[in-house]
Amino acid sequence: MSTPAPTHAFDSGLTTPDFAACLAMGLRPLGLVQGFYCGQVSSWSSYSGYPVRQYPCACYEQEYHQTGWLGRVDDLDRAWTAAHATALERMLAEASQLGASGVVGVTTEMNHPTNENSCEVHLYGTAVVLDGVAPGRRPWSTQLAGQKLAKLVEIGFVPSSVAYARCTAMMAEGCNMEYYASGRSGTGNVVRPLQEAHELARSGAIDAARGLSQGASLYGVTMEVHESERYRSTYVTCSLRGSLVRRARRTVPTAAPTATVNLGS
Amino acid sequence: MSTPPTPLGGVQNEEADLRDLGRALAEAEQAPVLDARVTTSDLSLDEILLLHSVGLEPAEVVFGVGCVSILTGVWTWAVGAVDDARVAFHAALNLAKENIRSQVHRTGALGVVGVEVEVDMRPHACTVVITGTAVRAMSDEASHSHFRVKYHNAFLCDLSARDFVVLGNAGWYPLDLVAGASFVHAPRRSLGTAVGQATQNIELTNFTETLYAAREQAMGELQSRISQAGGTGLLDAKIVDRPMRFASHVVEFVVYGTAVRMLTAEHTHPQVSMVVPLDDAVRTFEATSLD
Repeated sequence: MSTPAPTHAFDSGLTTPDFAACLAMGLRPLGLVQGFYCGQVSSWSSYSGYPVRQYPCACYEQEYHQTGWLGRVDDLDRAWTAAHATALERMLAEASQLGASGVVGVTTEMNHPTNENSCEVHLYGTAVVLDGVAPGRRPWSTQLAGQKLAKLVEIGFVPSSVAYARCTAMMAEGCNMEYYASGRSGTGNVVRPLQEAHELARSGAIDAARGLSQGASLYGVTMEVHESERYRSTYVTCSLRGSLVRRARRTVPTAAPTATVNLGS
Repeated sequence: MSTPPTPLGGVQNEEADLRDLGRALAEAEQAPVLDARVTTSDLSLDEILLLHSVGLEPAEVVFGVGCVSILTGVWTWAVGAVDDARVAFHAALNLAKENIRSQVHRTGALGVVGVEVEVDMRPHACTVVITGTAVRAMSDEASHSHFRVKYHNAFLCDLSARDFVVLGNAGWYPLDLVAGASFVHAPRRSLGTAVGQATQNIELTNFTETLYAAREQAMGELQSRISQAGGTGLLDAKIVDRPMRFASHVVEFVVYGTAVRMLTAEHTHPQVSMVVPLDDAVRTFEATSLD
């Protein structure tokens, strides 16, 4: 008995409930689409910080005096954001080839494949087409799928794109930081260099995300902050991931929820 | 005269039909952007829907950072409570709250829900970071706000949006994030006592008593901070009690939560429906039991 010739079967990363909800919305899955990017981050990136603020001497000890500064490490951020953007474009190109309206349930994985000077981004999701609607020029993408996507539409938004933004702040410890963060200044003084490094990383990432939005809103934000120390410098990195959505109709208050007690185990 | 927008679920706000939502998604492909205000939110969609039900919507992810120095030597040489650490903690928390409130003010929001609190206590500095989503009142075309409560000062609450909605429906509202903190030295046992007790299962009363002392101070402080915030209670208290990682003879006791106050005449009991899920996992026949 010969094996039947393969027909075009769809593959997808949807769970069964999401699959059912997508079908009910008229979203037909076409295939599991993926985008990869592996790259090298310049070994110079970590040292390419440029100052945005300097901290004057606070210790008044001339022998020790060393000016500290707060800076941004844009090279490092550019490497990762470009990696994400490239992987996203590759995933959307696959979706376009399938004739998709959009990609739902997008998952993002980001790693260092070898060492800290390498980056790997893997995006995957399910390409879907809206029945009876010609696909747009560029497919939309979202982390949501199924019922969650339906809820997004219910509150008046439609998906635009998945988004990733980050900002790395670098603080070169001078005597100001040494003075305030070594306890010599006493209790209750604001350690400005460290505080402002945390503020710069977070506000820089949020501003970068707003820059991506082009009038859209960023929902479902996950914020990750990582602090590390190298060569008497502190690096604070803040990354944001989420889904850009645009408002398609005015939102009106929804019904008050019904409180329930689950009697299941 | 323009017709007022109706929810996709209809005027009675019944559950929306998925086919209607699919059609709305298709129609929106070519629709112009209605609102140029950029919003960022770390809330889930369920939480956003719940906030809509009380007339609120997310405005912006906001944060506040406070980093305050601690005098050198306080961990090693102090006896009893380490007041410098407590002072630094509150100074850092107040600074973070001040910073987050200034961001809330800039965005025109009413307050922040789902605040996450991170405390990093180091030997010479205490850093407090608070992050959450600022929420604003939704308004209709005539600029009438759907949210009725007026706040003079932006509220901060570490309750989830779901808890916020349940609380509000019962007549209670959050006011502020408040905390009590205490750092207390556990007195060391004498060498003779330590050696004598080495082979016994005994209670380390010095540590137990220190924990009680730390708790007394922190909880007392929490009470006064709730009153200062104008609250009549505190919900969802989070307690951190542990030895400091860099000074094992100092016990840290930090408690924080959301100060709340009832704004209606009396507490409203929510009507709760009981749900019995019928989708329990089926216990299947186990062939190995035949052995």
